[in-house]
Amino acid sequence: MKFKIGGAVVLCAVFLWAGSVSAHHALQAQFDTENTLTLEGTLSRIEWINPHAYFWFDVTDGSGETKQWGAETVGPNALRSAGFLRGPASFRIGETYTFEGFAARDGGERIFTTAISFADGRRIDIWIGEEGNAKK
Amino acid sequence: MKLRFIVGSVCAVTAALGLLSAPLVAQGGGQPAAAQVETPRDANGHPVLTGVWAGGGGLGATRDASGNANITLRGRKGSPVNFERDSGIGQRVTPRDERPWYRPEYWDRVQFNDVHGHNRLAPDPTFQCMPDGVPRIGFPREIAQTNENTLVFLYNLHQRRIYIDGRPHPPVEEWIGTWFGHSVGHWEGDTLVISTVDFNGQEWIGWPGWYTSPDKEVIERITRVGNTVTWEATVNDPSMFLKPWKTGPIVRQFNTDPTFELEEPLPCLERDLDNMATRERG
Repeated sequence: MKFKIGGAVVLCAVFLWAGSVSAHHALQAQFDTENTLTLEGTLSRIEWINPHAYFWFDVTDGSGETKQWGAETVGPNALRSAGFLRGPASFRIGETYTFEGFAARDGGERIFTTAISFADGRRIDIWIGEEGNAKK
Repeated sequence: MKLRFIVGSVCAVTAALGLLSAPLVAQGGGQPAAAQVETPRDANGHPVLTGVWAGGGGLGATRDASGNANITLRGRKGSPVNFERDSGIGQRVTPRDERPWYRPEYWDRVQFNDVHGHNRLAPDPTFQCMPDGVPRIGFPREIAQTNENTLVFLYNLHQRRIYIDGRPHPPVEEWIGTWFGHSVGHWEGDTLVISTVDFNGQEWIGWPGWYTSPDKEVIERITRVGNTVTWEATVNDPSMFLKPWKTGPIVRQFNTDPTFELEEPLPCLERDLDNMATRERG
């Protein structure tokens, strides 16, 4: 069973709550929510920063070329409170993860993360649900 | 529909007030709201403000036994775009009397700020991880009194000093221009009244492009009754406003758990400003 973070305050908190930061931008100004990408790569760096946590990972394409991608995600406090900031069950640099998310509108190597899968099968889903229609 | 509007409004108000700068939103720890507690007082008979004014809430996030997590946001029709647009509407839809009344010569600039708040033309300072300023930062997570003259307000990543020994502000010729200004406080009954001046004028007081002049004075009023504190603020900026602008109240509960620990706040680094492909801000 997966847990969910719900509630009106949390709704704004996850996106807006950010250190001393209350500012927020529209993700659709930067990412195309109609264009999703799934990328497998080696985690090279994590930034537990506000207003959005960032994962940087290396993706090697079919031709053997490796590029660094950036996965922007929700505010780090949500991931921190879920126990993903540190600890043996958290992320490890050098390990392989699959990132799913919305592609950058400018074609750059960035996504807005909607899911992260660990090699051992664990998965973090970050998604927008409709009020009263929570995914169980 | 109404609920969503309320949700949006809550987002707007909390964001505008900087409530979300607290790690645990407007929650007190361990104190039932209905409990009547005598107001603690210092040797001079003034309410004690020292202590932690956060904690006890939280995102309620835990991982399940298998290690899976699910971070769910609520948006109309389950759409992230609707989520953002409704949030933007919530930020802007403020009753007339709750908006700053700018003098007409500033209307165009406020609108420009609003439109360009997430790009290089007129970025909202907090979007760039700059300090919120006063009163946008809201009420602190913790208050400490370091000596009889000074209260220290501790926010997530920032701090202010409030001088309560009756000293005046420095003369205008000595102002240096700061994000949080120079603050002096005095007691009016059980209310601490703080006057703050000497701003740099870079800070906004609200998301919809609400900028101010460095000449403004902010008056905060903080009242503790029992374990409940109420904060409200007024911005006097007569060169830009037709009348003072009021914000608040923020109501917080004193954290009565003496073992409570505030988490280290995470730093802020803006990465998106240069990657915006459209003008849509909210």
